[in-house]
Amino acid sequence: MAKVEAREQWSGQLGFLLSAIGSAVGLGNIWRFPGVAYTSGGGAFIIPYVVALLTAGIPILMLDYALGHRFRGSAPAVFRRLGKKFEGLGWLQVAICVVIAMYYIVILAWATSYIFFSLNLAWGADPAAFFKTDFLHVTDPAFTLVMDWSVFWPMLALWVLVFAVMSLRVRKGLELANKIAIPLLVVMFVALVVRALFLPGAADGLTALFTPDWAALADPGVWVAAYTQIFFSLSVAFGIMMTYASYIRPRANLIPTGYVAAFANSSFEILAGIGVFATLGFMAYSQGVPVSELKGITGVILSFVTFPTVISMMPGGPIFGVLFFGSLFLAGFSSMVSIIEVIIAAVREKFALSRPVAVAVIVGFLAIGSMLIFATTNGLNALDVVDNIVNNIGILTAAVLECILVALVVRKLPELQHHLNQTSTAHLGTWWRILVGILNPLVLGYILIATAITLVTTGYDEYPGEFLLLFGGVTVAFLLVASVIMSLLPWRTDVDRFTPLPLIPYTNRSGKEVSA
Amino acid sequence: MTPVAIAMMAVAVLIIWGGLAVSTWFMVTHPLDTSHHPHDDHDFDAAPAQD
Repeated sequence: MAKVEAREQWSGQLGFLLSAIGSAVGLGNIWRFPGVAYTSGGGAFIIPYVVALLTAGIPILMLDYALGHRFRGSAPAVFRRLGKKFEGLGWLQVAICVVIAMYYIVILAWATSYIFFSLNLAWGADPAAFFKTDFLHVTDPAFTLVMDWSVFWPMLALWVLVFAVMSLRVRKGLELANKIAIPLLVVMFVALVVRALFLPGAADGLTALFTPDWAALADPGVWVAAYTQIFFSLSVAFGIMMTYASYIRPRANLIPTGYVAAFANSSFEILAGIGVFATLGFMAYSQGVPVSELKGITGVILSFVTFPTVISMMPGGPIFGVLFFGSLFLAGFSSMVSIIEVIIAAVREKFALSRPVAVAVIVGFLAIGSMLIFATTNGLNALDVVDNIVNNIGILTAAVLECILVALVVRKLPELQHHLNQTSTAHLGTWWRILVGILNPLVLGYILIATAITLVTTGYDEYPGEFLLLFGGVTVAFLLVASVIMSLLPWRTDVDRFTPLPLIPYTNRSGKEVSA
Repeated sequence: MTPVAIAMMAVAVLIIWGGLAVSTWFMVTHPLDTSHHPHDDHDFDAAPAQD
């Protein structure tokens, strides 16, 4: 039985922290949070948002840290070490990363192109037509292999960049990329926000975002929106934080680091909310309409149609465009490499591959797959459907199963709590076990079931049923088949020969010794 | 901006950015003890398999 190379490690706490923040801060922070907050109670949204952060986001983040750090492996290795029959849950999380990686790179390719388009405002007078027709050559939703070369070439270049970063291993690749990207992202985005705040109409945009609609707090949908936002924003329960935590040295201050990473992620969301709505306020001012009448304030359309429209209106627009699309690229790229690392770690451990071989095989596979599916004239439609399915069904399923498995099936929460507490200078109480074991399966399970029922009964957006069935169905089938087949294949490393750190007594904050 | 919008923006900033400041302060002022620890010598591969 082969033994995989000695486990790689971050250079220290800062390297891990920046990489964890880089993974959490992604496209959703910039293009999803502001719109969700605005449509879910405005200023009042801060209440369900903070409640969701404290009761779901941070507890599940700590669960991922604990699993990855205690069982020191990729997602499949971690779940196998909980019990051989649970390995499939790890592969489900890896399969989710495979799907996300394939379409995430496309958005990065768009952002990269738009950095250059910003220089001469290449989208002209009609950014919507430019994006869909001139740039993406979007056709009606249907499977096609007709390539969109204006997306293909940037994608190819980005895959080469991903290959280079992943080849350089954890410290010189992932960690260094994040140590460059995150400070640069903060500087660029703060510059963008400051500029936006001085635009005429910015105050109206902020008034629209922060004026509270207290009645919204009585709407369960607003609370669901808050939990969903926090949950997806933190990149939990699909292997990333588990894999990253497995690269932390045995002695690590996990709990304080987790709090910093979680609040840093949310801090960036608040900053994005201010920047995006100050900009939208300027757009409304320029068009002579109230902010409430603006369309396209979230997601792909916000970034690639609404923002180009605003950029064309403002003095110094090209610089603003470079800052915005550059920020989008940096936020997305630091998340992208974390997603790929989940796959590489899992495949390396299962098949005893060296890192160069694993990187070449996986990046090659993902590159070809992503181009055949998403670099086509159907790319935007396919991305929309696959993203919806993998997030709302795939990740939520993985999260609910992870909580139920750890809390109720193998009953490892007390052990994991002790592990976190004995390695950290801050401690988690019984409340953590209640949140992970009871509240989160209930809340996330409710959201999952409600979403699945809506998808089945009313479909998604205005896509034809057969198109949803093709791309949504294939996505679900891939997740299931990959998790079953991969767990049936034999391990070529001695994954079961593993002893976690011994549990030793620690002294809690009130000075009492807590025995193992 | 209206007073209520300013107030809610201040609340959001105070809670979230304040949370970041407090958690960072705690992490920096409560580092791990760097003296030798039994976990430093732990060999994860040494023992027989667990199930």
